[in-house]
Amino acid sequence: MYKLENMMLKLDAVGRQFGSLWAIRDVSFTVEAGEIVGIIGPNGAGKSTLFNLIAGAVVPTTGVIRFLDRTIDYGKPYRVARRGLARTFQIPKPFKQLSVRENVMLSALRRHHTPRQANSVAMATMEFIRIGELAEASVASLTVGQLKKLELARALAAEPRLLLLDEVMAGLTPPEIKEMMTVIASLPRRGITVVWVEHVMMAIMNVAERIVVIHQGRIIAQGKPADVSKDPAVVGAYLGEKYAYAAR
Amino acid sequence: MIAERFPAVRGVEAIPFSIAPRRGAVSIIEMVVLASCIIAVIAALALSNRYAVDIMIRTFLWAGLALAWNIAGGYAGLISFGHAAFFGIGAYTSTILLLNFGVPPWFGMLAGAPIAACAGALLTQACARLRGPFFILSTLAAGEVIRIAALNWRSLTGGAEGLEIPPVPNLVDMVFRSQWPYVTIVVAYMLAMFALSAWIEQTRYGYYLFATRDDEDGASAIGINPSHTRTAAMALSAAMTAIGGTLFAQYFLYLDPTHVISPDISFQFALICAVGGLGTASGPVFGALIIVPLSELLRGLLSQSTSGLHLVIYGIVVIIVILYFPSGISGAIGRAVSRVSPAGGFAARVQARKYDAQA
Amino acid sequence: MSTILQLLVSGIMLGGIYAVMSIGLTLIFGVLKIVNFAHGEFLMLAMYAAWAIVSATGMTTYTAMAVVTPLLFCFGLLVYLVIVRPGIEKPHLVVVFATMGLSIAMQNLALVAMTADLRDVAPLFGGTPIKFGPLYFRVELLLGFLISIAITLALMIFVKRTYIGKAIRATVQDRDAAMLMGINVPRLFLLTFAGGSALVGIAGCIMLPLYSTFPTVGLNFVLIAYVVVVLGGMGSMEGAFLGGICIGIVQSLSGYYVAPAYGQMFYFLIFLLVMIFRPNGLLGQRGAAMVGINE
Repeated sequence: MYKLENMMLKLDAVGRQFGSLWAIRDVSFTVEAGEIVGIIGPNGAGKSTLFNLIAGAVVPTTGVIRFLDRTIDYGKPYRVARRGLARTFQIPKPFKQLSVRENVMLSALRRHHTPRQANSVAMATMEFIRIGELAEASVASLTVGQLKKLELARALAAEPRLLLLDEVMAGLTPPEIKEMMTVIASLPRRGITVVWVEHVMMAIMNVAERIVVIHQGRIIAQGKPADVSKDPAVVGAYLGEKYAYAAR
Repeated sequence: MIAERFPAVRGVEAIPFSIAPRRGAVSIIEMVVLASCIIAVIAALALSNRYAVDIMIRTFLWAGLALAWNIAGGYAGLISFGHAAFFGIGAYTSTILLLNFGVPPWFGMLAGAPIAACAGALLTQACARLRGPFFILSTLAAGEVIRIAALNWRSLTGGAEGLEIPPVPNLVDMVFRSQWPYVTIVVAYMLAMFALSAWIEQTRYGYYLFATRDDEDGASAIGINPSHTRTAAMALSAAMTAIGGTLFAQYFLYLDPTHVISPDISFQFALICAVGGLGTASGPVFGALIIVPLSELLRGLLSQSTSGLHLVIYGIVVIIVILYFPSGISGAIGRAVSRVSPAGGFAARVQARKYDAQA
Repeated sequence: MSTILQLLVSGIMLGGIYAVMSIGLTLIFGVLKIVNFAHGEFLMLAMYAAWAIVSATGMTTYTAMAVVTPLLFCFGLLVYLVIVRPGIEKPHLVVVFATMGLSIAMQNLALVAMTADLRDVAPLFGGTPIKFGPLYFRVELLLGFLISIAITLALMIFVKRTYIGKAIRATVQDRDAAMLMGINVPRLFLLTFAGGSALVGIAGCIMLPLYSTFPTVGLNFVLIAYVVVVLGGMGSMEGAFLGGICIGIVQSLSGYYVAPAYGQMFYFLIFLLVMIFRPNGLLGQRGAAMVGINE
């Protein structure tokens, strides 16, 4: 489908200061095409800030962020989105006065300029995430799980190269979580690279290939889920003894 | 890509509160709107009462103006209480060009529109970071600045004495003795605004407006530039309002800042849309069809006995309508339509049929 | 030289009075996050009520305050329950239009009931001004200013020391967090709206001796009130006081040095400049203007 560059996203010594507080400090990592990279860490570690930095919503104080081999337009999230980045929001931000289908269709309009074409793409995406039957429902009538799926559908309908998932499992029931895990795991096959922040350990440790652990704004560990979950620094800061998942 | 047909909708949820009614039912409403307009024209034809025709002219003019306001207020979510400034810019530009340089208003209106558009764009950019009541109040303030400027710039605008267009019937100068050419012009204006609105709703740009209105961060995240979208909407709205201003000048033949660039007029635009249904093409038309004749009626009935009573009633009506019918008339009709049809959503089927037929 | 001093000092005093008029608005704006388009009409009501009491009983407006203030409190309560509360959780323009309708209705009700005639009250002490050195002041202006200082101080103490005061400050900063902290936000809304209206009652009593009342008197002042609120920062009482003083000075100076026709334009320009460059006002909370409400 797409020509796969090797290097999708590169962060170089990225930092962001709010007042005297460094929310993110000296963070560097790379994401290659086709990977599923998970980001974990305790609350307040700076994960949301990291996402906002990558998505262009927040301007970094230090460092460089490169997406698809070009520096991103800091502070202009719509420019970054146009180059092929899509994101979900932790607290879903649907378009409340539009139906579910129209929400997804809006996203597809970026690449397909007529509502008719965009509509087809939207319906297909909604079928893929299995919310097809909600198409004409109003946003206000959706449950949390359905809203999260809508977020994901909207992100996917933009046919992105890189997808940022922000705590997409929060509030889902176990069967919904399983369903979502399958969906996310299948994305690289469709040419979509995933960077994913999550608290639901069971999900992320079993699907992500590589985990980055953030604590107090810095990366304290990186590697395979199995290795990271045994890393003493990670265990001390966040996971505790219980979550030694060695899935892959 | 839709392999199988659109699966049957299990039951459309009762439409919860929203300012803009769901667009599935619009096609029915659109028909109702056009029907009402045709009926109004026929009724006036039949009546041939000068007063009634005057009310009709004003109704359609306000409908067109409200539709223009709606592009910024209803579609883009930019509630402006300063639109009278654009109205005034259009009216004064064409009139000044007519009186001082003999430029026919047919061309004069094409001069006022770009000026208003620039003013609108400037305003939106200046107030780019403001939301909610701050934006509304800023537009009010901006409108008032323009009014006071017009009031004091005597050499240009004639100040408080205003400008008068000589009532010499003349096609080139857009002055007519009979009312019927005015009717035609005003109806054409309204239909043009209606068509513009309906067209916007169907296109990509329209959807971008709705997205920017509903959730700016969400819109940015899917590649929409909220600032550009808003500015363009306001500029378009301002330009269309300015054209209406020219028509107003040509019908009433007298302009002065206090009455033309007043907050009352700005409120009227907004109110007509709110009562009729913000965010739809049919809403402003319904709003005008109700509010303009009604306020005339009230004024005729009541101001003889006690001055101001009709406005008390007007104010109370506004309160009741906005609290209990926030989606306005077109929203109420939309809800009634989808409730009357069997669960499964008439609205949904209409919408689905629209796209399936074209797919 | 003494002209400027005179202008400045009267401006400051006038500013204090403007502050009283605006403190209620900044509280309502800050806590409920709504625009009350009928704020000027509340003032009009207060002024008419004060006038009626003074005409009927012969007391001064300052004593009439004891009746007018609770009257406006109840009126505010009523308006909140019937008109504002139904619109709170809805998109903000519901409240905007509803209060607009109220404003139109009230203005014209006053017109019908009281006609357009100007009503005023006899000045205290036969109208002789008090002399302070080279400066002259109307007694009512001085009294009004003193009362405004007293009110502002009382309110500031109230807000910093009492539970309700803290609740108000919390809700101004973050309504949802306040709710989660156990603050009864709906009841706070009610109290703030009614309380803000009561403050307008006080303002009306102070202002009646200085300005006549007529049905559309509110229109002149509501504008000033909003400029003061915006200048001082939404939700900040100290800000309202400071903002009032600034505007009072501006009005006093511009009334003398600049053509009166342009007078009003000044307020609007100040408003716009503040909105564009410092939307949170002098003492308001950062980011308040960017958040809007109810979204």
